[in-house]
Amino acid sequence: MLDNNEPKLILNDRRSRLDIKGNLGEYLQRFGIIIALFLMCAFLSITSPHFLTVSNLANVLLQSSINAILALGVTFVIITGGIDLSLGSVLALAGVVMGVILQNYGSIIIAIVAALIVGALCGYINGLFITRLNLPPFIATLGMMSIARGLALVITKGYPISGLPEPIRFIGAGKILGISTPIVIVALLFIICHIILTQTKLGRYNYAIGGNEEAAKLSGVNVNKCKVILYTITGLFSGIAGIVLAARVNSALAIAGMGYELDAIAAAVIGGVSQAGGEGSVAGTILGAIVMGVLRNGLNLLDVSTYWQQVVIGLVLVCAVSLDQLKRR
Amino acid sequence: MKRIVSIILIFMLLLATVAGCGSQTAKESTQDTQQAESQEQGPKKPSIAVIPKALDSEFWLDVKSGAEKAAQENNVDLTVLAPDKESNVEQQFRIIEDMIQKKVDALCIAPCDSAGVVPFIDKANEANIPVFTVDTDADGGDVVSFIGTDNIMGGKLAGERVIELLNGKGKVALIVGVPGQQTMRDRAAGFKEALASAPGIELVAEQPANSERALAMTVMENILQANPDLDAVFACSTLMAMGALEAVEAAGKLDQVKVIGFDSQQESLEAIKAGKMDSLVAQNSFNMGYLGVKAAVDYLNGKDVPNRIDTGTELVTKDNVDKYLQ
Repeated sequence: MLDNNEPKLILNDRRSRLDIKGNLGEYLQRFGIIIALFLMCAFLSITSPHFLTVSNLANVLLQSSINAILALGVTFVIITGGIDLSLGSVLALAGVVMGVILQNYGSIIIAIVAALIVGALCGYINGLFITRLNLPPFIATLGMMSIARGLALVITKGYPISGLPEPIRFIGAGKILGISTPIVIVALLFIICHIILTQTKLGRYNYAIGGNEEAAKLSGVNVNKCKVILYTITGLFSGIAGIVLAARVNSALAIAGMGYELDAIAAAVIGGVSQAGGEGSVAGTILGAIVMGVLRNGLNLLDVSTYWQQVVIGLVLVCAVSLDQLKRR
Repeated sequence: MKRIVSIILIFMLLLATVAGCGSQTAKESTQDTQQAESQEQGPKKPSIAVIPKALDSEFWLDVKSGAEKAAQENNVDLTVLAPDKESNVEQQFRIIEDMIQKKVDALCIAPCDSAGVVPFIDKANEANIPVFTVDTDADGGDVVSFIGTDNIMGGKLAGERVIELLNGKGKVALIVGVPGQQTMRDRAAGFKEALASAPGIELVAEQPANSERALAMTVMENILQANPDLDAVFACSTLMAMGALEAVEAAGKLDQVKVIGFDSQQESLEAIKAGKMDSLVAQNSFNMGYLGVKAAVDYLNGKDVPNRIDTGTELVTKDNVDKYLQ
């Protein structure tokens, strides 16, 4: 009987915690990333005449979009205290499934729906691995990383599927009211994610599970069901990213998106989503993705080799997490 | 307070890193502007971006030094940027977009994916930037010239060598690179074309190893497991040939399985000299960078540029390896 009331208790508890202690730290951190972004942009504007132009800034947003979609998806599972290493592979598998259907049947709608289903299904299976088999998320999704990549290679025998039809190309390279379609897609997904996380039961349970899984369970939250749903959402987002990436490069490649999971996790973490669970926002995640996009773009404009770029991105990641730790102290 | 200080320190550290990486270029560009100011009447120094598939092997480093030599001779402001690895297709395309934003005068690209690069060549064309492809051609787009090896010829060279070695009879395996790259497709196609003329030779395995050494070793181990009586293997790149060679050596089959590679590299040349590797098809990667930048300069100066520039291939065996080893 009491079960029905207790989840509310937890939520109230969380809110009060935020009010008293969380505010300063959280704002500081969000400010931190905006300051970092601002400083980076200022530095790049001074050093490269090509950085601060409308077309380049649009270019940065376009280039960040695939990472942003993956990062939005993975935000949900990181908030639960989990992780998803299969993003890049699921992205490739979804893209390839879309490509194969387009090539053999030509139906655009079926191809897109199938890619989304494949993405969601991979996420769902991740969720089952974690909740039913009790695998740690790291291991379960590491397995999926290999499974999905392997399937993508099996389906295509390693060959690219290129030359996608015009409506699909529109998803990756078209423009809606002068704005590149991928950017519009990211904006829509951002709004949806924000609503899920802040306005729905699922969102509140998400934070509750990350904050204290045992407490959430004891107060009647169906933790396993929530986790499966959240991993499914993450998989679905990987599927969306797969469609956008294939559309953008005009070919579905089984080797697409290798290592993208790490970029996406980095974007979320830079954006203040705590690896310890229970904290983070989609706004932070988007900012994190933009920070990474600006870094890559700016360093390219400055002719800094991609090897150094990896070093810089690693440093940014470490700095962001150390901020997170400082905040906790 | 302590927090804020730490945050500021962290960002300063970050900025310093970025500044450190950028400073060299920044200095160069100030020199450039000074130079530009001092010779305002003279023609503007053309800027050319060379975008290889990666910079992780001697092959691409040779392309880079060829490009640098041509840039020096022709007074070109050269940028060489590449993704961290050849399979990182989208990263290369992002670099192309960034170079378009940088408004370079010409682009020399070795596409990581021949089909995928087309929309990005279109983007460059829209920005009136002429595009040259080096090493690997694109499947479309408006490309002024393709500067590279005739890979079908190179593959044939390897195929003919296999026929000669096995006297027209035996079992052969083929290890290909990242599927979808025109170069790799052509080498494999040329190789198979040559084999077709020798009905006694059977192609028992064809596996991709993504131009990675470690993967090629695993792939080769598996091929050897499945075909213990294999006679020869042709790997479409030097790193894969070295990986395959390691697998053959580990299996103790150096005498039985002839390894033929593609591209010369110090290590593989030494393996030929030591008699471990049979031969390789050498392409002139230096020429690709050199002739690529040169073609771009000629084009920018209004000269006619042929739409196909062959950079040449040669079979390197124990007999002529010294020439390459110098």
